[in-house]
Amino acid sequence: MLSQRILDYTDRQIRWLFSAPALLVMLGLFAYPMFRLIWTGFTDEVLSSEGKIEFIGVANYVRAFSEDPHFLRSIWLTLYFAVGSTLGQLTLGLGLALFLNRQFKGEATFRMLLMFPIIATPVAMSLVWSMLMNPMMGHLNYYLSLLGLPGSLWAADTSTVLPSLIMIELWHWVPMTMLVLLAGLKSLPKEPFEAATVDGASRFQMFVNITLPLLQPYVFLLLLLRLVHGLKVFDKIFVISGGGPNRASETLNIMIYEQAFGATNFGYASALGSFLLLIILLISIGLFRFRQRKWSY
Amino acid sequence: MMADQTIQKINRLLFYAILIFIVTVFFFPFMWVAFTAFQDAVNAGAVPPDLLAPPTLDNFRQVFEEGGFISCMINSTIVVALTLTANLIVSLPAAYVIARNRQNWMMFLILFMQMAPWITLLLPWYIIFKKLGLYDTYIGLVLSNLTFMIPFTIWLMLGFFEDVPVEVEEAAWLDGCSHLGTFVRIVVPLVKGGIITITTLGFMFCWNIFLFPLVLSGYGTKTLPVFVYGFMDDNQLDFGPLAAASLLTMLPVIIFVLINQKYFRQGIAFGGGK
Repeated sequence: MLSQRILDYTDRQIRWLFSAPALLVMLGLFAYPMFRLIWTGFTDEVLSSEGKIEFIGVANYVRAFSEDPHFLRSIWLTLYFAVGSTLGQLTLGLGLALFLNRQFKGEATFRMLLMFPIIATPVAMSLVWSMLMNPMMGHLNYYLSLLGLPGSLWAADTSTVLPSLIMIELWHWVPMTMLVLLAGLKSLPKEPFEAATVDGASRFQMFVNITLPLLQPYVFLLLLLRLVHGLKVFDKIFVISGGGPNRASETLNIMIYEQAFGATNFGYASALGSFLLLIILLISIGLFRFRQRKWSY
Repeated sequence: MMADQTIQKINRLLFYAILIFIVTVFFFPFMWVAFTAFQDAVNAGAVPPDLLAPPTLDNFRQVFEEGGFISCMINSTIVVALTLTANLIVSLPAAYVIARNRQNWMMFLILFMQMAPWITLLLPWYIIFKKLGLYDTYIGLVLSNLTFMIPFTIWLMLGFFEDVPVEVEEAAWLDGCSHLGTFVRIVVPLVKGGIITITTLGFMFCWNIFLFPLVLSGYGTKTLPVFVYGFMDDNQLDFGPLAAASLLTMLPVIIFVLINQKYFRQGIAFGGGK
């Protein structure tokens, strides 16, 4: 009888019991660290220092906005990379999805091959790309020369490094946006298109007046998700350019890493991190509101 | 009539030409790495490469002799296996409870936890992990991976759990099953598809992750992506060994995901990628 009572008790407490492990892990590894990050942003903590950590108010933020010229530049670089790659992923992904929205022979093989960029280890592929982009021995310049075009310095030049990185980001993620948008296209209702065909609408008219509006929730959701992702990209930039040359690709993520683990300015790096977190939080709220309005799941 | 057929033929030809172009663009780096990994030092960095040069295994020998490659691969495997197991044990019950009592603030938290930049977690973790002795341990790496796996798993599993009719649980419950028994024996088998999806995507995320082990692992627990990064510094322009190391690093994850392709595609379509 006792065991029955214990069972009854646990049944009542089941909600807490079931969610306790996940809750504990996320409290310890997410909530507390976030709190610690924001707090550290107001101190002068230095990595591996045994000295006293002092509370210095908003000094780190003052330093970022008025004394560190690279901070504003890194915000610009981060936005350049994130917005550029997001727009590229959506236009190319949508274009490819529209092009492939039909049945054809070899569809399965095609999809399988297109999945490779998403699956492959980013660090390994970044290494491959940096070899392909090598100005002297790389294949990309060789193909350009075959087409009679001049070679590029790719990631080795301040003016081409970010476009090169965006190109790799597109190579990595366009297959994904394409697959999502293709799934979206295939789930659209058939009736509006049939009605429009009967009315003699052109393909372009159908695209602008039917496909795009119906697809809008998918596009907008992807837009926000890819934007947030773009703001967080680290691996590619770190491996291929390391933020260089001459800090021309040092986005916020790389800058925070360098400040924390290179220059050991933990307090300053935490302030920069808090700033990045705030931006992501604002976008997340926007995303969530949108999802509640237009997304049923 | 004739003209229509010709136009159709040209259309189809054009379609496949564009298709092959697209595949080449996206698949070309893989062909390059698979080719270069088997080339000797002279041909690996040559442009144009000699496509008929006899293949060699020297590059792979060099990767294995570099030291650490095999132990890093073992480390990666251990961390991935532990993370995926722990993730299911921790996340599934939570996802089940949340699916039955969904509330807006929970959903927002789960979304935000997936959105937060990893670098902002890493800074405090570094200090905390050092203090707790979790630095350079498997547990530390597993915990760091769980932080993105748990919200993602809950997010994805909600839909699966919501599709399980409550009547099924009530029936089991009336038969004298406890909640835990009902969950383990009745509900979990019904969401098998979700579990395979999570395991497939989780394998990919955890095998590929670089930033966390870059900072949180030392000599004892270094994972493959960190190894490749170091290998790159040691062999600056030696394209052959670098290609071999890249190929060996990504081969396991590609094979694993391709085996579970169907589930992978479902997960990608659902989550919109990470």
